[in-house]
Amino acid sequence: MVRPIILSVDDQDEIREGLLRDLESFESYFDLYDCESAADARLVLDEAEDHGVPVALIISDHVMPEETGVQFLTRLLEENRFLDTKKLLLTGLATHSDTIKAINEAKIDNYVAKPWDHLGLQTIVSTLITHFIFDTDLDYRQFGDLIDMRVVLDRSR
Amino acid sequence: MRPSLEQVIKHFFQSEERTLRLKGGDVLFLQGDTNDRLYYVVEGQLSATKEGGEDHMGYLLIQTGDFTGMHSFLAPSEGAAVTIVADTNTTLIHATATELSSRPEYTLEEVLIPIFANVMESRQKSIYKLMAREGQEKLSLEGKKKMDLLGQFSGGVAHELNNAIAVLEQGARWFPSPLSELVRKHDPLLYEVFRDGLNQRRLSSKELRDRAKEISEAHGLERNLARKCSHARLSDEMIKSLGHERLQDAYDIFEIGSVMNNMAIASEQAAAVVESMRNLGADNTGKGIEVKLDETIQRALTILRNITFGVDVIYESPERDVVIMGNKGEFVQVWTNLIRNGCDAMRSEKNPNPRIEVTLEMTSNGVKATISDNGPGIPEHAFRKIFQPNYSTKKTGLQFGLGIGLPIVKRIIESYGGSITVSNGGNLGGAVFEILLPFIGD
Repeated sequence: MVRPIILSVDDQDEIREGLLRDLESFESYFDLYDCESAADARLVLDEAEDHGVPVALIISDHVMPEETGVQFLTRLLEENRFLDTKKLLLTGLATHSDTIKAINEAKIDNYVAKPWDHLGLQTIVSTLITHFIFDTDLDYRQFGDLIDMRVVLDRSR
Repeated sequence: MRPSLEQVIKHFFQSEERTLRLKGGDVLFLQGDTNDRLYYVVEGQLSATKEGGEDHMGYLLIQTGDFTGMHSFLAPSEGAAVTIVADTNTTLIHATATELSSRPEYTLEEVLIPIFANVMESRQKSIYKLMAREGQEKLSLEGKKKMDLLGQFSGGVAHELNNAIAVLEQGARWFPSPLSELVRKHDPLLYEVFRDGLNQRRLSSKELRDRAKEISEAHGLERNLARKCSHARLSDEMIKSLGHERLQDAYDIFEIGSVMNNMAIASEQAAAVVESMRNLGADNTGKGIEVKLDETIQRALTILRNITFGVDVIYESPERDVVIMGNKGEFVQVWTNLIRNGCDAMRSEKNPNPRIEVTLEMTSNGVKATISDNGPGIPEHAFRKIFQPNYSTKKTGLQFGLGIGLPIVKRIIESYGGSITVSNGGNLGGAVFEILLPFIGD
């Protein structure tokens, strides 16, 4: 059975590891990856593409050296890649105009402020991956209790 | 023909018999006195004060080269408008209207015109001086008020945060030692992993991922578990010795060590920030400990290791200890602020090769430290304001400054009798902060 990827991008080691610890329950059906920069994230994405592994969700920080989260996600969109992949911006500092850009240009699916509430984040991740499963015609019954049943009810109508 | 001022002085204010010598405190004339003389100050200084009425605070200095007595000379029936007292030993020469019209080539009016011009000019000058001084006093008073308010505010916040941070800091500090004892007794292998977590060496996410792949292939582990083994820096032997069922435990125990270490560093930083906020409100006490400045720079670099990640930090510890009597936390705060500012500035400019250099050296009577970077430098218009509270350059884009960093730095440095200056250029081409600290007792 295919194991989709959940990818965390953040330049701070502690934040990445803390996030993955909070998402440990998703390990039963997903492979968790973490990258310290947009450039490194692209290596993971390229490899996933080469092997035909679906990327369900990218959780990206915004404020990073070299390339910001919004720039990174916008570029992916411009390259017409990973269009089904859900995008979540997890950030401590972003201005009003950054936020507008994130929604309009990077087309993010959700926005969570640091420090995050881990239960709230787990719910959001569950919702997003369920949408991804439906969007890519995967069988939601193969993902056990990680699925957001509200999304299932909504989308099975 | 009208005479020049020099000619007036030469012709009418040279007479020895009309010379008056006053000692400091002597009264020339009192307000209301009749006066029919014009006085020229050959040397010395007098003050004119006016009492009563709305402008009883009026105060005017009369100095060498000035004329006085103008008002009562012109309107003798009204009496003197002010009281004039000598401030120091003063020599004056006086002349009456009769004496001033004693020369046939000039009329009285012609003689008076250059004197009037001189009086007007000198009064105007002293008014401007007074206004400038008042303006400056007002400015510095406003600055002080701002600082006091900020001090009161931050002192209040610091007080509220202090107890909470103390609990966290002490906890984070105490936890590792009893826990590592427990783990050691329980499982010597996991103890090793725990120690690694406490003192983890940094690896890039790419390195960790490559290692995870290696582990996954060599030990037949699924990807998530392999990632955890790699993250916990487990060697192949360690993975074999632990056995598959204990790998998750190993990751957890590594993470506990690592998180505790992060918490200790973070709470130390929070404590330092709170401490400096409190210092903003009051003069600091407790500067009596020998502080090795090299240690405080190392500490600041540790605290900032995430912020300086990707930045080429150039710092060489001095060969001899550079020691100053002071408060360790304050110096850590100074370096932290300045290095962080440099990194933020370079980051916001998307500098591809950010570099920051810290130097520390002993001078003949103190210590000189510099923090320079290859960022954009300080904009011209910001030089004057950069150490003022509420001023921040980080208003656009992603970064917000509290606008209290540099004022804190300045206050700390000045509390040691030192100075901080900023310029652009230096070896790296960006901003250069130079700090001079005298050895206490010098």
